[in-house]
Amino acid sequence: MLKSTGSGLTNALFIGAIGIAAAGASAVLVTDRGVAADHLDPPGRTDIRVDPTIDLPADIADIYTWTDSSNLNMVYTFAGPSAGTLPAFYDPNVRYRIHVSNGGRTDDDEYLIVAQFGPGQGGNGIKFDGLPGVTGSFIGPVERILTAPNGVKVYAGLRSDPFFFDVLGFRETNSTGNLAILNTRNFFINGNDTMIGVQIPIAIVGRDSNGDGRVDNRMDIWVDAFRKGGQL
Amino acid sequence: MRKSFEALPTLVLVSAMLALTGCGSGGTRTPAPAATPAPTPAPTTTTLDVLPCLNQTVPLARVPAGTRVIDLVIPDTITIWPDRDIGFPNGRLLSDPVIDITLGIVLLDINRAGQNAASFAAIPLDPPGATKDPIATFPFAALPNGNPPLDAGTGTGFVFDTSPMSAYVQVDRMGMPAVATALILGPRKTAYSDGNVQLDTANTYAFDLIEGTRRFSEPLQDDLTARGLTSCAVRRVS
Repeated sequence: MLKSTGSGLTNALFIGAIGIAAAGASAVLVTDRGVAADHLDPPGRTDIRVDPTIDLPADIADIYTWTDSSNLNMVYTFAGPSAGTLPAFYDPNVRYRIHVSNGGRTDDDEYLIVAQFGPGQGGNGIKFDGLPGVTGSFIGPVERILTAPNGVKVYAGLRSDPFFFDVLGFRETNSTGNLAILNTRNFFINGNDTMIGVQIPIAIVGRDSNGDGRVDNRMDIWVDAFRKGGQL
Repeated sequence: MRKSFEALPTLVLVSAMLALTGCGSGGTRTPAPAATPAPTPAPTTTTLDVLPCLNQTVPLARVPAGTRVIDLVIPDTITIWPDRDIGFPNGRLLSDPVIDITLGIVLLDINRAGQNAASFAAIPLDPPGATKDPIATFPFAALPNGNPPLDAGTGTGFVFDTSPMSAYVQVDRMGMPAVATALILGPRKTAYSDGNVQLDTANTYAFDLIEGTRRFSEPLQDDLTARGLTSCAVRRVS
């Protein structure tokens, strides 16, 4: 079984992951907290120097979201950057939520999508609740694109970390006051994230207020992660 | 709706920033001498006012006219205006240079001729892309690096935890990239991660964002000047 449980994570695993991700940069990064889009934040829960029982599966890396002419797309990454030898993190005691606000208040979601992993026979599964236009739970195996009757697509699996940033240079900049970011140094190179993807037909969440054929309602997207029983 | 940022007690915030930054010599001002033949010049303190940075409008056609930097980070969400050109900060594509753009709008006077929100991204300051380019179709992120063991994707009979949501505790949250990690200072990061967007719109973390921006910007002012760039921040003397 490829399941990795949060409680089963070891510090050595984490250090290894970061060390690999930082390969070619500096050994300092092996034990250094990264500063990134959201990877390894908050340090009180995900920085090994601060918290010996880090919660990597619940550590959000990034949320990417955009619309195209057909869909609202969301790519939610977490548990990274991990080394290229490590499996995905399908922790059954973490819930991942995606909030979608598509009208009215910008801080009040119209749709709350909740995803969680579960072990099964022959592999892990993922369950989605709250998918727009989908009644009840939507369940299937990881590493597969699943399509609901209304066209909503979901996916969960291990993918290349899409993020790029010179963490080492940023930290040096912060500590010395001298701009030291290099465009030849990517802390996340060769790293992987576990991800959840959701694609919603734009007709479900979009509106054309003036009849010009273009969806024009503002949307606000944000994500959070919850651990059963609290912090590890 | 979010509260107007102008509704913040600006003078109080600026005063607080002055107080924070004016304590470099022990935290107290030297009292002026009662009478001396050669009066000692009154000590002065300076602070970097980053409110002009957060209040500056973002001159990009991909966001509505009048959108300010602070509007993009409070509340901490990614906003999409679907009828405009898509690309950060209008949504976020996997390939968008979000850090360079964020640094640009936080550090530079982006309405000044010759520089804009994409000034750093045009260099680029940071690496121009990830290990692998995104793929064109869902799920967009590229296949993993290395040779990790992958789930076969053929599992059945899954068992999911059925505990109520009340049994779960929030660990992390995210909207805009780099806000929680770069602009919220260390002692407040956990509280920020425990927060939510309703608290954001109530300006619960507004001072954190201002002070975090100031702390980040302060040592970089000379770097910007040396490179012929104009900062959005203003140095105040008191």
